[in-house]
Amino acid sequence: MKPIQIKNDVYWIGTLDAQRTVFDVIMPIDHGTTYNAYLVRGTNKIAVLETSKNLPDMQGQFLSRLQTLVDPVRIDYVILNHLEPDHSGALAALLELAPQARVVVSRNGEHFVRHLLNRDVQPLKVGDGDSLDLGSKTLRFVSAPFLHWPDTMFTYLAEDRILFPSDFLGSHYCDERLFSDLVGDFSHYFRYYYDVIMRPYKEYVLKALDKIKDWPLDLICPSHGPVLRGNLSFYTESYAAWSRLPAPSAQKRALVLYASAYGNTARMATAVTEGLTASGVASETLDIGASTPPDLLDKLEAADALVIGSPTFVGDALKPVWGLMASLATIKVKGKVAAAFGSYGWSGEAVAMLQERFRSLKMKVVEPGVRAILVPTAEDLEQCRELGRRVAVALAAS
Amino acid sequence: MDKYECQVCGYIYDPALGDPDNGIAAGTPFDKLPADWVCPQCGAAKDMFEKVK
Repeated sequence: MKPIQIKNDVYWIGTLDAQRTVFDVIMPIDHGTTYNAYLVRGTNKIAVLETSKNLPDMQGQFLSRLQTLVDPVRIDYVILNHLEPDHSGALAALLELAPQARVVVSRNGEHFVRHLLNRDVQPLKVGDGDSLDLGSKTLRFVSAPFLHWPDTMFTYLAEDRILFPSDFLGSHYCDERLFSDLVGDFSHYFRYYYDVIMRPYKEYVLKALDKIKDWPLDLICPSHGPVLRGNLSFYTESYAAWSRLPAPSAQKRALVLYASAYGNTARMATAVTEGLTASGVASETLDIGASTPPDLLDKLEAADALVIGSPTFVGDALKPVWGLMASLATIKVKGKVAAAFGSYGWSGEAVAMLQERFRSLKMKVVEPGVRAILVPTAEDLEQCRELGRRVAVALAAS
Repeated sequence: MDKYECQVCGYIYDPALGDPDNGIAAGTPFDKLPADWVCPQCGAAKDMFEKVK
């Protein structure tokens, strides 16, 4: 298990997880991942950045690589830019071998390290303007919250111009050649990681990029995937471009989304859209039971109102509709207007359930929704148009 | 009136400002916030807040 030298006295001592096919329960991956950790050796002091995942074989890789370079009793600092267990998972084991080491986290990190170790840790808390002098190696810290937890921060090794941004700019991509210019094209993985992990926090992405924009960079060493070398602006500018918020529009926009087994809820969707359009709202209607458009998140984000239609199966809304509702947490829906409608056979719980979920996401719910039994009548369809008009009124007031 | 800090994300609740986006008027002391009030920045519950000394 060999470390990989990054620069003089800076080493990668991470862990390769080539076999992993699902990350964090929700993310299917097809090229494995890595848990990157680093060692920085100054003339006076030694720092370790990140550890490994909380599984014995992963911890073993990390400790093995670390011990090739240094006796743990000589470690001065263990810096955790982020406390999630894929990076902090070997911390307890490391502290057994290195009880003298000081744990370094962001101010927000204290809550997390305490609840991970379940003991009273006294971490050194750092933030903007703080630094640690290792002797010829100076580590500077940048508070970078919500990238992607409240605890996240970046570390910058000034003399070598290396940024350690934790999960930011990372990829689930395992390749033992490590460097971005050696591993081949991983741009799809870089984008996928951003879309799942960083996209919900666009404004924090832009804030962090602004903080580091004048810092000279030779290398970017994230906590997953390739170490970025050469053409670094491609990576930072990609994040900046993807994090631009949709331009506000003078005309309000609504998205009407539905699933429909026999065309009944679909006809209601058409009528809702008629009501919206007649009230001057720009509206798009999408059948999400059939397929999910690739730019659905962009459309949801740009919409001011989401009107969702679902039939009722076994006393519940349909699975693809719940899938859609689950994806709402990855964008900012708080404060958007929401409404629900649907056709049903005999019990019809779906509309009330959707409205409850909208409320818990702190959306502005237009109630009551509209339900029809099986084939909607002319009156049902008129109520659907009226729902569209009520949504338009709520949009005008918001 | 005392300010309170979220121990998870550092957000400071300032009673002078309240939290109007979430229906809390300016001038509302921390102990008068509803039990289900959460940190507007990170969503942590009221019991994660500590008085700023």
